[in-house]
Amino acid sequence: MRKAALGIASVAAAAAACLATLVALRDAPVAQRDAAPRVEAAARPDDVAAAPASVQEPPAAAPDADAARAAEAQEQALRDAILAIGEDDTVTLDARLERYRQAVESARDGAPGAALFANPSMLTEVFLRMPGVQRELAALGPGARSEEIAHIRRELGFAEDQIARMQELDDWREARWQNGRQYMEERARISATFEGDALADELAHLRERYFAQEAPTLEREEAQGFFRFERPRVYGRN
Amino acid sequence: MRQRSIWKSLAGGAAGTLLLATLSGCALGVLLSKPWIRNANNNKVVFFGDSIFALSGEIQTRLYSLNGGKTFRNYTTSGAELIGGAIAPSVEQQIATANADNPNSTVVVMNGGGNDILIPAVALDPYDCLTQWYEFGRLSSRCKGLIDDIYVDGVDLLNGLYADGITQVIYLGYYYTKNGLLLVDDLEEAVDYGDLRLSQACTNSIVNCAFIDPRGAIRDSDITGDGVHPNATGSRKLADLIWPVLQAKL
Repeated sequence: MRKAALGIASVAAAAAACLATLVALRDAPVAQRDAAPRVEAAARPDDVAAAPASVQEPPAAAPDADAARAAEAQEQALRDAILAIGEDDTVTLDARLERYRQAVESARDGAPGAALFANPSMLTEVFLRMPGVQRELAALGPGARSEEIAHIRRELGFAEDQIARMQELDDWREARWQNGRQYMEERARISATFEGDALADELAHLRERYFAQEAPTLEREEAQGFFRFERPRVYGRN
Repeated sequence: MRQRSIWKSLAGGAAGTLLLATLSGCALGVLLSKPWIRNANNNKVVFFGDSIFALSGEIQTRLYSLNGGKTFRNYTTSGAELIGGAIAPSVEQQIATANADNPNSTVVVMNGGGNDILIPAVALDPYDCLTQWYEFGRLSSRCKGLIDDIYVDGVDLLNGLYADGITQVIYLGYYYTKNGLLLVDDLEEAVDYGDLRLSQACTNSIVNCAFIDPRGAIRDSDITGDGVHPNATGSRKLADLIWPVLQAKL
């Protein structure tokens, strides 16, 4: 049940947010879109000069302040909980996903900002970027890893056609990484063998062989000190 | 404790709900965008990107006016991420749709990458892209890693445009957001690094690409109460930055 819960909740939250927005659009005058910032924002020092004179902390602000502090504490706790999921090496991938789902569901419960947590791309990327998740994905073979990433996306709200499309993107990126890693190995050998103009010529040929018309992009990146295939690999993301 | 809270800043009101739906990329991202123009008066030029273009449409309206009232193709969508977006059509998906409609455009005006940073930043900031006062202007390595990945997506996307037959690209960077419905004033360092990397994506790509940096032009007063989107004066300023570059390519 819980495995399906987040996907359903994701769709439901998105639908609720959309419905709420439709209602808001119907009920609110267009000018409200550009309404002055709320008191909390307008009262900040940088904005005081621009704030209307009448915008002051209301006399009955104490309950709001309490609510704001409670909300901040809730947000901090949630952030800590989510980051801890990525640092805990004692749990399996499925357990991590389950804990992550629970944390996200907690964030959604009664949150006026629930729509942000209904964005499957954002939710999935946060999960995939967790070091523990990547360690486990890296340990899997290509087929199993692909299935696991599809499972993660499904559980976090992606539709099947979107999963298939992302899989194609993953495959394309994997081919790029394989090609890039071979390039980097050859590049290291060439760099140890040649120097000066001869080295530059050899590297130019090598880039053309590996990257064809995109070779100038790699050349410019390297001149800037950026080696894209030395970035941390994030399966399912880069 | 961080002095920000999405809950606090979005605690009520239609405007907050509207903004959340815009950023979340829910299906309303399409509804909260000006309609696509799949067949324009001038089909040589096509627009891709996010709600900076799509929400009010005022940048394009100004450009149409400067172009003698003639429209350009437009696929920009609120909530769009650069690649992959699960609900709102990402920039990559917008390009694919536009190519299917008509592959003969040769000039692209676009942006992209902003939502990839902004959405997680306002939703708990898991990559620490908001730079707090006690971080002394140092952007976190996690946020830089995220933006480096966005850079690679961006330059690969631009190279893909070249392969599709696009010969000229105008890439609009991002300006500093402000505290409004969203408390995103602390994104300055992320915007700086993001614009640096997006400008490099532009210059490192194999397509002829001009990067437009709006940071010097857009002030807080040019941004709507949500803290993110350009108001009428902001849209006019952005259009006036784009037009001289675009006009030379028409």
